Amino acid sequence: MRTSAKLAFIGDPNAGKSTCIAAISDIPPVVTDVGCTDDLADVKQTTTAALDYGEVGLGEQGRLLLYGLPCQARFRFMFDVIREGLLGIVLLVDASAPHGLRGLEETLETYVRELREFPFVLAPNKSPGADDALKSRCLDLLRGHRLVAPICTVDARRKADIVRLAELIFLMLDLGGRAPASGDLVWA
Amino acid sequence: MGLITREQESCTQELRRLVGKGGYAGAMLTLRDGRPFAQEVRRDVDSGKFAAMSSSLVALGDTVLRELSAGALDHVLVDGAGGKLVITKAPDCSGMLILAVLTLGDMRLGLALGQVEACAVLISDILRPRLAANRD
Amino acid sequence: MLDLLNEVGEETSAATEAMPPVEPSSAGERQRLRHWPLGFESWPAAWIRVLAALSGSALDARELAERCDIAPAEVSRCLNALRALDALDRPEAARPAPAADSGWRLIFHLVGRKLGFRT
Repeated sequence: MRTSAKLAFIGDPNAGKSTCIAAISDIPPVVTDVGCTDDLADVKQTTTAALDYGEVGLGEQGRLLLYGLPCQARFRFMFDVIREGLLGIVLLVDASAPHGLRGLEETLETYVRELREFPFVLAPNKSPGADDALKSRCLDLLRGHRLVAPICTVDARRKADIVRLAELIFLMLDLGGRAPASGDLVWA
Repeated sequence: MGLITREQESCTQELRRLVGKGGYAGAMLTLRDGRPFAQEVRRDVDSGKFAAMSSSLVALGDTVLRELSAGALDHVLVDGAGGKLVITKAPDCSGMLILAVLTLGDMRLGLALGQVEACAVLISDILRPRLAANRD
Repeated sequence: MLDLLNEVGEETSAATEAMPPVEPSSAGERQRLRHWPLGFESWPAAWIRVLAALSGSALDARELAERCDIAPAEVSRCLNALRALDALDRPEAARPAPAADSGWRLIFHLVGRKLGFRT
């Protein structure tokens, strides 16, 4: 089955998914935010109810599609909407969140099967500074789920940081024996 | 948000009345961020997933129409071989509540659209005072 | 930034050159990554390629050198560093995942050129 190639950005509502996509997308991201109705509204007024969309143009060779997905368990079905042609996942963490890594724990619980299936990078965003302790806790959470992934602090507004995340995913695909057969991809 | 059990029960009764007309597999009233508020569905329907999917479809519908400069969303229709999914927003509720109704296979679309719209208005009548009070 | 990475790489290489070489009995053993080391971003680019390879596949030193296009001595230094961090597993009955095809390499090149990958 031939399909298009995609990268997915998953994370807490305030983790910076739309910002990441905007940093590398050739078009202004299309965002499907809606107002929050639970206690999340204390932290952020809106949340992604479907998916955010951006793209990287490759000229006549096509495009790489970028999708931001909500991390809440009730929206897990959205992953299946973009699964076909998915290359890898950027898992964003709001390093400034007052609730610590609770959101990451919930995301790992929700998406553990997908995170074993696709290469991913764990990216703490909005880190206040020295974050060795945070990254250690992230590593502990990954190991608790037997997940293996690089942990890279980013500023989601910086294109170079997001490019680095994409590069790591592509390296894992290329060298880790997880690249799709090129015949299975068609560039949209 | 402040909507309390009394409103939920009244809304559930409206959904029950709608489904009781015949031709429907279930009806769900969902908060805009995908959480169930009231429902009258078959036992084999995952209400949490139904609620989340309905809110996603509305969010996508809003987005598509906005991107195409095609005005405000009226309803979303997903037409399948075994039934139709009709989703609309409860009017005058600031887009906070979404009514999603799944019909049986042989239900006439025009009839379903009219009955769903009428149900949405009744739900709005129940909730509007409470929502206005919460805002004040 | 590249100068800094190269400098750190030289320091890391110097430090690990002092380590004993890979034992002959373990040179042919396939290993895979148990976890990415924290702070791997300061490692040499060649070592990051080794990490990427081992994150998805169990490979021995020779296979790593070939797949990552890196000198065997450099692979050994990287493996020593990973071993010191207890970051490797020796899975039973490990078989390496297949290398990417040439069509994929073109895709990697296109995306890398557009976004500005450093490797």
